[in-house]
Amino acid sequence: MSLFYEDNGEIKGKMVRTNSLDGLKMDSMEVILDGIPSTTRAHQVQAVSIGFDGKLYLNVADGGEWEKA
Amino acid sequence: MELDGSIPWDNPNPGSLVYAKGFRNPFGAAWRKSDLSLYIAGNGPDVDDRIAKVRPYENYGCPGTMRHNSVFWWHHTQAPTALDFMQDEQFPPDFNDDLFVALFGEAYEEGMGVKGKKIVKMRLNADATAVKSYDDFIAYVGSGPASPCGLKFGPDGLYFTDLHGDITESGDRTGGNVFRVWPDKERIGKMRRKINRYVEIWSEP
Repeated sequence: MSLFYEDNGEIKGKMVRTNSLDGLKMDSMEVILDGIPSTTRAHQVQAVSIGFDGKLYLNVADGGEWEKA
Repeated sequence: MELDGSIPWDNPNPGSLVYAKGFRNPFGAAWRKSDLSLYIAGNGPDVDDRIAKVRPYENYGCPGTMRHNSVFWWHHTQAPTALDFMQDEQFPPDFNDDLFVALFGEAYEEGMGVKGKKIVKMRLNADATAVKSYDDFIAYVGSGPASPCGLKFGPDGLYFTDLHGDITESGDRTGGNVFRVWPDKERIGKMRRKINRYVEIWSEP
């Protein structure tokens, strides 16, 4: 799951691993990767997927700044 | 990355998590069984939203162009969000390996709008360099601000979500919804391959 957060006034993205016993609330949260430069506008950390190679893939956007793509 | 966030030894750039670059807003991701590849739906600036097949080492052109190494692009932006392939027999065989893409359209646009607010179906060519067919699959016909956003196949059909909520016929505002699209299995079970005047089709007897 990708999330964004504020750290000392800076907006950052992170990916966490969670589980839910009843499907309604998170019972755990482990940070897999954080400190990803981000923004409060759109274009933040996006889709998370697991490949056929068993690896984890994260889509990261440009923060709305084309030059940073 | 590995499931614990560490960098795989065989990543394209040793010591870097970057697998491919040059994306602008790669909103959705879907893995395709038939070529074991990752596909993304990306939002362009004022023009050129796209679908791209992700290859290691590859550069997808941003900043500069949204077209480089893309399978397909919409010149007039439609805001594609999530995407997924029909690859586990949720729909009849004629849909096998078709790509479904949610097109959000303008944010908080009431009514049908002129952009997006649809789920479209595409069929890729054999080497996934272009699209062979493109059809509207679901289109919003209400008067509310709802737009499709999340989309993924489950074991029993195509699931999608909307954002902003809808306006019912009695004028009430709703929250977002989760929808499921599934085939009428009984009716499909009676369908057969038939040759009509021109082509072989899947049809009721």
